[in-house]
Amino acid sequence: MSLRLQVNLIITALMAIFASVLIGLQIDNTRRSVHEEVVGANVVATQLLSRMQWVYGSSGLAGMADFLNQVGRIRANEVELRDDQNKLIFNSPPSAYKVGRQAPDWYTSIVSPPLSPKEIRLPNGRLVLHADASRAVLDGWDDLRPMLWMVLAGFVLGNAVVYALMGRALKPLHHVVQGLRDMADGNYGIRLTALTGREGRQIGAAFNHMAQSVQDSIEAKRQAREAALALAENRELTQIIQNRIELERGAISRELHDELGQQVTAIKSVGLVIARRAAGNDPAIEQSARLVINCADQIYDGMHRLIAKLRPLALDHFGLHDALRDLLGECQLQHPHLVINAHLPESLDTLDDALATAIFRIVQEAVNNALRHAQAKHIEVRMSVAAQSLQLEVVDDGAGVVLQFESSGRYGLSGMRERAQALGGSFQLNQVHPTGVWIQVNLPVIRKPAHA
Amino acid sequence: MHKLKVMLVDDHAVVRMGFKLLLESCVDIEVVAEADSGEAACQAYEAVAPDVVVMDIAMPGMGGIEAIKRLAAKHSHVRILALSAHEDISHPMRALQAGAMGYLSKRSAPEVLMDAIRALAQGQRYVDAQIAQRIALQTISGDKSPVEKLSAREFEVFTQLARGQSVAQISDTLSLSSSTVGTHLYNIKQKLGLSNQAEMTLLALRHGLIRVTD
Repeated sequence: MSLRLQVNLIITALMAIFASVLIGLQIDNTRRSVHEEVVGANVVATQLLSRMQWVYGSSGLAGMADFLNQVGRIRANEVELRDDQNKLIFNSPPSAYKVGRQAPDWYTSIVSPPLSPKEIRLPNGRLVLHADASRAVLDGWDDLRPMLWMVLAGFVLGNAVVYALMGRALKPLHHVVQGLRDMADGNYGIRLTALTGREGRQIGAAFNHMAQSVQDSIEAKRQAREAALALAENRELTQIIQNRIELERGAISRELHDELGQQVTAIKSVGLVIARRAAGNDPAIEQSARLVINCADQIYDGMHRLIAKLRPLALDHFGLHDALRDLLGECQLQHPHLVINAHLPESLDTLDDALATAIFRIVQEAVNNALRHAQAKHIEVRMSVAAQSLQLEVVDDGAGVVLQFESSGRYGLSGMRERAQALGGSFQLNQVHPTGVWIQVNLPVIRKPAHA
Repeated sequence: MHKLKVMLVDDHAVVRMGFKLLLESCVDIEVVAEADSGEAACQAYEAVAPDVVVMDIAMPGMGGIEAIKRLAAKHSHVRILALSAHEDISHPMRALQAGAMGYLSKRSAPEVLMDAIRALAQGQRYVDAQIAQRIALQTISGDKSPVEKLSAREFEVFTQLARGQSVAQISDTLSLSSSTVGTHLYNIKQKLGLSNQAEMTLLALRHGLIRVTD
């Protein structure tokens, strides 16, 4: 049921109660006055006629009839004169007041006083008096009728006015409902304007504020989604570039080792043979041969420095465990006083190439930072591998300051972070007290595809 | 005079040629066969029966490490000197674990190749000095020193075994019955979680208990 109909019904009901009370009072009033009038008239007539029989009794019923004829109608009473045989001798004439009109029966039955006919005994007949309230009732009815019309008109008019006013008052609500429907259909740009009334304006302002919030929030979500997408693409690209770089480095590394390295070994061997054969016979040739051997050694060393920088071949041959062991072993060799503790599970060898490479590079960078920039005396490398994720920690006791690392943009920090994030992992740098840096990397485990 | 028979296995003909020239300058060594792959070496080994196999571990095909494993599994007395141009510790460790008795990097190979071959021929182990130092220095695995796990006598037997001595030689040196040495060997393997003598050598190297290059 609409609000408008409800209000109309309430108004109608209130008006009905009010009108009923008014009409009830009016009817009661009329009933009292009719009662008073008719009963009064009846008593007067009865007394009058009772007296008259003394005067006209001697002249018999005919005399009585003459008298009554002369008197005519006695106010609100019907008078009948009957003889002993109950034959009607006289009946008073009908009232000349509002001839032919009657109040409705229902009204008459409410208003008429309950009066029984009165009989006056005559020597050979009787007078019967009926109180006739019909004229008085009709007067009352005539008074009441305009009032009923007025009530009816009031009903119609009142309802019409209330209906119109409610329509006006509820107009803002229709706008609001329409606005909400539009929003539900996805039209978040909708705004309510020119709502009338104080509440209307408040509702309008609140609605617009809400719509703006919804629109902003949807826009923010869309932007966040786009940003996330862009970031994911960026990381994917980073990953692809890193992979390509690693592939290239691996290829160069292998080429250096497999071809150049072998040739240098051969040169050195032959040089040594020549030097030994010439020893004692031809010092010039021996010296030249020694020179060739030295050159070969230098090429060999230079080549291995390059290989170590490019990509450790152990990573491809034996996996992450051995590659890390080599890396840390080399550090130990270069820094004899450094204490390295490493906990590396054997299960590292089945990790996916890209993942293994990323971990290797992160450890390499972290150790490099600890030694080169922080002069660490103690480095700890810990790895633990669970079914779904692996954790890498590199802790040193060097002079590295995390805040300085973070703000300088140096020390390969963004590279380490990028590598971790490109593989769906996280990278964290913590300060250790009193000195040191603690790197924590969490990565989802990706296993090498099983050999076909 | 009996010459040491050597088989050269390397996929680079120029390297084999260089080594062959070197070895032929020694009166006590002769190159009896050459192979250019692990597969070829495994096939030729029985017919050639060399005293020492000189094997490059980086070769196409099955590769040197796999060839070492197969030869060691099939011929318990095979003496393989592994070579590689890798300057790390994983490659030598893998080669020694696979069953090689010696290891040289190609950088030092030309100078010490003959010494290494002679040492292996006598049943001794030989590991490049620089590599041995690297292995001894690395403290990665976090395992306890064998000294802490073994009894004094077991430790004595362990160091001998790690040097490549046989059970018979040890029982002579320590004046023990060979069955007692065998019991010690079993206990040592159990306590240290090792499966062969090569692993003992590696463990001993790692903890600086032996030097193999002398």
